[in-house]
Amino acid sequence: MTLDWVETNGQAAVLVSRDGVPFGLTIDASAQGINEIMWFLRPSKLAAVSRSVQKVDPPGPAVS
Amino acid sequence: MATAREPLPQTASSLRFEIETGEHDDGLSVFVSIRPRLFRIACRMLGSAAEAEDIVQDVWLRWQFTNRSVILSPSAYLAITATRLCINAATSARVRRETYVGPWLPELVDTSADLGLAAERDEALKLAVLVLLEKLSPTERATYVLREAFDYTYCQIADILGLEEANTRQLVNRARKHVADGRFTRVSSAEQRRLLAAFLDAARQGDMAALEGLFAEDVTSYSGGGGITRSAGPGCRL
Repeated sequence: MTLDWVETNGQAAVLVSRDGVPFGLTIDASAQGINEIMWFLRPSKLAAVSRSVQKVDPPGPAVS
Repeated sequence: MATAREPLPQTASSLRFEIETGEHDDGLSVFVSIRPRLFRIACRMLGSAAEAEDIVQDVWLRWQFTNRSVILSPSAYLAITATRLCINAATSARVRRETYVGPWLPELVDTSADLGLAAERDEALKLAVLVLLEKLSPTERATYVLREAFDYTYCQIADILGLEEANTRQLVNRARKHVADGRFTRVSSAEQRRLLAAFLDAARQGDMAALEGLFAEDVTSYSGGGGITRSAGPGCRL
């Protein structure tokens, strides 16, 4: 499984590739903690971001 | 910016084009200067970079067939054209999404490379806001995007949408209330990143106690597969 940190829609997100199948994941949070977890599974919603990952180094901390 | 009352700038390239197509170069340079703004408006209206790109292409085609010599403000004219095309596209998208399987999520739009996308007040591009905007009518959504993200005046928005100014204010207020009702006070982007990293850690280790500690009471999980891919949720072990 690989993780790529990306910045999408002005917030941090990760692109995960598990067994060659990619999906995107991000959260929205308030002072109370995580309010929304959003899983992006549809390939068409990931296409624009997946392409840009090829061009730039993923920003942000590495997650082990 | 050239208007009907000003002579065209006589640059080498405009002279070259003038022989065949009159003011071709003028139409291009005006369009290029406002293109990024048209793309950003369309992104917020449609929640999709690919669909926004189609709108910008469509505006360009229409611009080429427009009698540009009678247009006093090309930037206003192009913004009007783009917004109206977005409203049409959003209206037909709503019909399509009535048959969409599962919850609808916007497309992830990469904002790290395009400084312009992040430079303007980009509340209207945040995923949670895009999801809320999706529930507005396309016209309400346009008033909100133009007012909140691009700082157009009520008078300008009324012109763009062909509405009365008072009616425009009403629509913006309604949209603002709708967005405010659905949202909580946001954390900083550093904290959002930290929570996402902590969530990934806990999920990969299967640490349920740590996961629960990260969640607010009313946590919701949206899984957008549109019926095309397999579904996943918080129970899905990373």
